[in-house]
Amino acid sequence: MIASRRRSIEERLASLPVPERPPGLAEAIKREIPPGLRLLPPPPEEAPRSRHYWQLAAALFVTVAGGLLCYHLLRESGPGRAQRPVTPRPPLVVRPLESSVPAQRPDSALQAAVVPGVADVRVRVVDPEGRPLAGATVTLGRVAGGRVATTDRRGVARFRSLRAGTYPLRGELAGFTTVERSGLRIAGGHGVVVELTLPAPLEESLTVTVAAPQTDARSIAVGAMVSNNGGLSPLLASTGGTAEPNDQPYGDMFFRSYGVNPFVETDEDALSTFGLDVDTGSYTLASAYLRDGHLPPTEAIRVEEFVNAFRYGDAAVDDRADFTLRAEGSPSPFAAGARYRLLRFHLRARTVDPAERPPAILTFVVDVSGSMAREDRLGLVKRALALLLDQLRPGDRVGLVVFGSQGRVLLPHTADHERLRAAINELEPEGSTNAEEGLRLAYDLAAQARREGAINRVILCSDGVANVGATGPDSILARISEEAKRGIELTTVGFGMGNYNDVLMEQLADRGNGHYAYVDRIDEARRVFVEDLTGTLQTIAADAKVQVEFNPRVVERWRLLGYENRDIEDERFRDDRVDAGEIGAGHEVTALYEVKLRPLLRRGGPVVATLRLRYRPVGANGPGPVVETAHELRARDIARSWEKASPGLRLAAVVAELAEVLKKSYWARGSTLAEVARRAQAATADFPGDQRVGELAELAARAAALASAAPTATDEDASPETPPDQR
Amino acid sequence: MSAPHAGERATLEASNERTPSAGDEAALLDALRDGDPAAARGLVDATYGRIHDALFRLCGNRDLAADLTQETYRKAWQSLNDFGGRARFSTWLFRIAYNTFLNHVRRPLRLVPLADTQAAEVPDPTPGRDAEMAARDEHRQVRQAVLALGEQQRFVVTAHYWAELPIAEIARLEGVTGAAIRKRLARALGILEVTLLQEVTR
Repeated sequence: MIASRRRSIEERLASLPVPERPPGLAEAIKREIPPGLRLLPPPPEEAPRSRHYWQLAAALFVTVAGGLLCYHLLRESGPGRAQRPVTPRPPLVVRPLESSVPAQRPDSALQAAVVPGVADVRVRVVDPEGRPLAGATVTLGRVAGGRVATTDRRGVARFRSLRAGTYPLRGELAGFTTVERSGLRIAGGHGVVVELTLPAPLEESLTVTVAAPQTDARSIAVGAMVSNNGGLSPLLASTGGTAEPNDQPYGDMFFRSYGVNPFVETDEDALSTFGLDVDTGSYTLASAYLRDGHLPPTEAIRVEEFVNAFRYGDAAVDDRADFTLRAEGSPSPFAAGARYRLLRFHLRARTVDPAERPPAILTFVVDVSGSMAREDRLGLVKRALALLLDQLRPGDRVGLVVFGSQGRVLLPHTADHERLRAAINELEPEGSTNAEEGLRLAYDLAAQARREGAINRVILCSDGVANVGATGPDSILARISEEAKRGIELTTVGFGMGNYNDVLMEQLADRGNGHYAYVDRIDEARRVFVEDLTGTLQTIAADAKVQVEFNPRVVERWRLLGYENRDIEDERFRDDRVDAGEIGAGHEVTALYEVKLRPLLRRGGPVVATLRLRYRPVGANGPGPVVETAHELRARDIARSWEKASPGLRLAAVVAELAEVLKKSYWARGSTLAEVARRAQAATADFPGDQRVGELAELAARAAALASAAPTATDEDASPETPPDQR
Repeated sequence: MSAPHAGERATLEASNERTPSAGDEAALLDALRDGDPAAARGLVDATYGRIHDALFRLCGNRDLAADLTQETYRKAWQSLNDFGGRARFSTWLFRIAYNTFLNHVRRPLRLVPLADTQAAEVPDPTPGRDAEMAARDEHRQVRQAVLALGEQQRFVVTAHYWAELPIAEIARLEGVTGAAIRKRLARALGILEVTLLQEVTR
C-alpha cells in the first residue's frame, strides 16, 4: 500500500512534462562561449585523502549518534519521564501545519523570496486536546466584511484565493470560548495552514486587540504570477507569520497591481484628479495572452490603457485648438443599478502635419542580449526600426546604441539613414542583458547630440529582462528623470512575451516623460512606429492633468475607471511641479466614470460635472506657459438609454468592462465575459472597417471561452472579498 | 495520469535520449584542456537539452527556463576550473543550473516572473481542454510541492527525477554515499506523499 503510493508519487515526479527545447537555444549558448576557453589539468590525486577524512567523520558520527541514542532511550524509559514538566498548551496556537511534518521546514531564504499574491488558507480548529472541531465558524478579516468559513469533519475551514495581507483571525463554536487573534500575516503561497485551538468553555477567554486589516486598495502591491486560469498561482508554499511585512514593497515583482478605484461619496469628495495617460501596452499585452490561449494576469490589466487603445471616431471640431473635448453619458448595461450612469470624457489632441514637426534627434537603444534571439524578437525589432527609418525626414538624425553583456555605441548620430539601416540589419544577439549600461551610453550620446527645439528622444527596444547591471532600476530611473527635465524623452517598446517586464518598461517611460508600447507582431510595430509616429515623437502637451468636479446635488457617488497609478492629490492639481502625462499629436484620451445620480434629476439644465484640463502646451519652441481649460457635462448630455448613447461611448463602455472583468474588479463582479463578448460583437456594427474593434470582439469571445474552461474562476473566488475602501 | 499536451515531448521519449556517456564527456573535456574550441560547443550539444528540461521542470516557464539555461552556461564557463572532476560534467552542470534557479527566485529586485505556469503550456485551442487544465493543475501542484521541500531534499528530488541523474552521480557530486542520497529521497517522497495527497482530498 505504502509502496504503491510512493510509486505513484515517483511517477508523478518523473512524468512532469517538458516542452520542446527552444530552437536556437543551443546556438545562443554557444555564442556566449568565451574565446580561448580552456580547462586546466585536474589537480593531482585528491580522492584517497578525502576518503580518509570521510571515514574519520563517519566513525565520529557513529559514536556521537550512538551516545545520543542511548541517552534518549534512557530518558524515555527512566523514572525521569513522569516528572518532566508538562508545558501548558497555550490557549491559542497559530502555527503552520508544516511543522507537524517532522523535520520539515521550508527553506527560509527561498520563502522570503516568495512573491505574494493570493493564498489558499486552511485553518484547522482543534480543542485543547488537539481533537478536530467540526462546525466551528472561522472569520478572516473584520467581523463585518471578512471572509467566513465553517470547519468540516476534520476541523478544517478553507479560504480560497485570499489576498495577501494581514488579517484578524477569529474562531467560534458554541460551547467553546471564542478566540480572536490579530495580525495573521498571509504572504501568498498555496496551502497555508494555521491551527487554532479553542479553549474549553471554563477557561478564561483570551482577548487580543483586533488590528485593522490592510484594505487600502491602492497600497496593496501584489506580485503577479501568470497562471493558466488568469489568477495568481504562487510558486512556493509559504507559511503565515514568517513572511515579509505586508507594508514593505516586495522585491520580486513582474506586474504591479495598483488595486481598483473605489466609489467615492460626492458629499465627502467631489474632486477626482489624475494625470493623463496614453499608454496602451496593457491592452496589447493582454490581447497577446488571449491569442496564446491564456487569460492575462489580473495585474497586467490597466483599464485606461485598454480604453485608450481604441479610436472612437470623435471628430476634431477645431484643429487649431490643442484639444477637442467631448463629455457625454448614458445608462450602462454593466452598471450597478438604475440610477447609475457611465460618463465619458474624451480628449483629442490636435494633429501635427508630419512636414511641420521639428527635426528629430533619435537615439535607438537596442537590446541584443541572448534572450532577444528567441522567437525572432531581434528580427521584429529590426523590421520595426526599418519602418521607423522609412518615416524619417532627411534632416532627422539617429544614433544607435546596443547592449548585450556590455553596452556599446554602434553609430553616433548621423543623418545617413542608409548607413543606419545597414547597421541595424547586422545586429546579432549576444550575451546577457546590461540594459543599465545601454541606457547610460544612450543618454550620454543623446546629450551630446541634443538640440534645442528639436525632438530629442531615446527609444529603447528590449524584452525588459535586465539581468546585469550594478544596481536596481532606481539609479537608472533617476538619470532618466534628470534628462527628461533637459528635454530628452524616452519611448520604451517591449518585445517578446514571456519575459516582458511590464512594470520596468512602464516606469522607465513614465520617468522619461514618454510612452511605452508593446510590440508582438509587425502590425503592432506599424501602428506604433508609423501610424502614431508623429504622436509618439511630437508631444503637444506636457504634464497634462485632469480634474473632474462632480456636482454634489446631482451626483451621489462616483468612481473613476482605471488611472489607479496616475492618481494626483486634489490640492496639487494646480501645482505645476507635479509630473503628469505627456500627450502626443493626434493622441486620444478617454476617462470614464461610473456615477450614481441623486433621485429626481431634472433634465436639461444642471451641470453634472466639470472637467478641467491643465497642461503645458508644447510647440516648436518647447513648452510654453501652463494653460487650463474647462468643460461642462450637463444633464442633457446624458443619453436616456444605452441605445441612444453615442457609438464612441458604447465602445468605450465595452472595452472598459472587458478590462474590469479581466482584472476581476470588484465592481465588475456582476458581469460575465460572455456578456461583454456579445456587446463587443454588437459594437463592430458601429465601427465597420475598424480592425481593432473587430479584434476586440474576437478577443472578448476568446476570453469568455477561456474563462468558462477555467473552473476555478467562479465569481466568489474571483472578486476581492471586500469592496475597496472609500477614500 | 496526465493527458499529453500538444507540442510537448513525451517524457518517455525524453528519457530514451541517452545521457552522454562518461567516455564522450571525458573526451570532450580532454579536448577542452587542449584548448580545442569545438570541445565547448560539443559539451553544449551534449548537455544543454537536459539542463533546459530540468530547469523547465523547476520553474515551469519556457522563457525563463531558456534564460536560466543560458545563464547556467555563462556561469559554468566562468568557473570552469572549479570543476573538480569528482562527478561528471553534466552532473556538475546541473548543480550550477539548480543554484542559478535558486538565485533567480531568491534575488531581490529581480524583475522577472516567478511562477509563470502559464507560459509553460503550449496553447492548444482544440477540445480536451478540461483534461489539459487538470493536467496543468497537477503539474503545478507537483512543482510547488517539490519546491516547498527542505533544501537537501529538494536538491536530490530535482536532481534524480527532473535532471534524471543516477543516485551514484548525485552522491559523488555531494560527496556522500549513495545510501545517504537514497535516504534523503525516501524522506522527501514521504513528505511529498503527505502534501500531494492533501491536495487531492482538498
